[in-house]
Amino acid sequence: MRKLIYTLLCLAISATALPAASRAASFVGLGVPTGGSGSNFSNALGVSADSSVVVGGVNSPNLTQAFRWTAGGGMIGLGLLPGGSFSFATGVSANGSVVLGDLNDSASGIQGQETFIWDPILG
Amino acid sequence: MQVNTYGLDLAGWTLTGAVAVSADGSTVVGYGTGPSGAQEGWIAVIPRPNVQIAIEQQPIALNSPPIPVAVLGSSTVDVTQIDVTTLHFGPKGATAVSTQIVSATGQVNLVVSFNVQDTGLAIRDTQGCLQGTIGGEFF
Repeated sequence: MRKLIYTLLCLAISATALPAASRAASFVGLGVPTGGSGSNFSNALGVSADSSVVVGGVNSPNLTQAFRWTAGGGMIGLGLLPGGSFSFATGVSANGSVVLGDLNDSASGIQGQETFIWDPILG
Repeated sequence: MQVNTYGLDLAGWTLTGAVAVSADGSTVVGYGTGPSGAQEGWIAVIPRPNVQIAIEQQPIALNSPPIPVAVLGSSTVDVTQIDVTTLHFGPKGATAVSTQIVSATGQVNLVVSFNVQDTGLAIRDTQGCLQGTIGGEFF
């Protein structure tokens, strides 16, 4: 719960503004890939503590890819491993710099699943 | 969800799930059925109320008269939407003993008074907190 704090002993009237964001309320759809057989979708599954980055998964038929979304850069796919058919981002660090999720590769197969950690330097 | 309360345009949407929220609670993400009919992720930004308060200087003593705390209205804060029954002040969470809507220089403010002994404030205290809800949102 956010709290207001003021000083009792100052000489004049004192006021302290909440550090709340002054952004306007907004609602944004992340979009869905076009084309294919109609089973496309997107899911938002995580948001950074500072609200700067949203992560999730976006699907065009038979291929689901983790994404990282920012207001300035939009949705950026994080890719797949060789032979992989899906990746999903399920969480993101407080400042949005590190993404984690699940994916598969040719060794794990379609039913296999491994955890991944992504950052902008190492990928 | 209460997003309609904030004037968000949800035409064509059916929100299915809210999955994660930012640390300050202002950003919520999830998924639903979008205008295209496909499942689609969404981001809702619902800023917390940006409320300001003010108080006139006065010494703190147990026999002091009630402390008046002004909640300042603004173009974005309608103090008439404050639920005065939710207001709590000081470390002991004093409840209001009186409230008054006051108009000053074209601005509508809410002045709330609290009994000193109910607040838990001590002589050397330099800070206090006011909590409550406005339009159903905590501040």
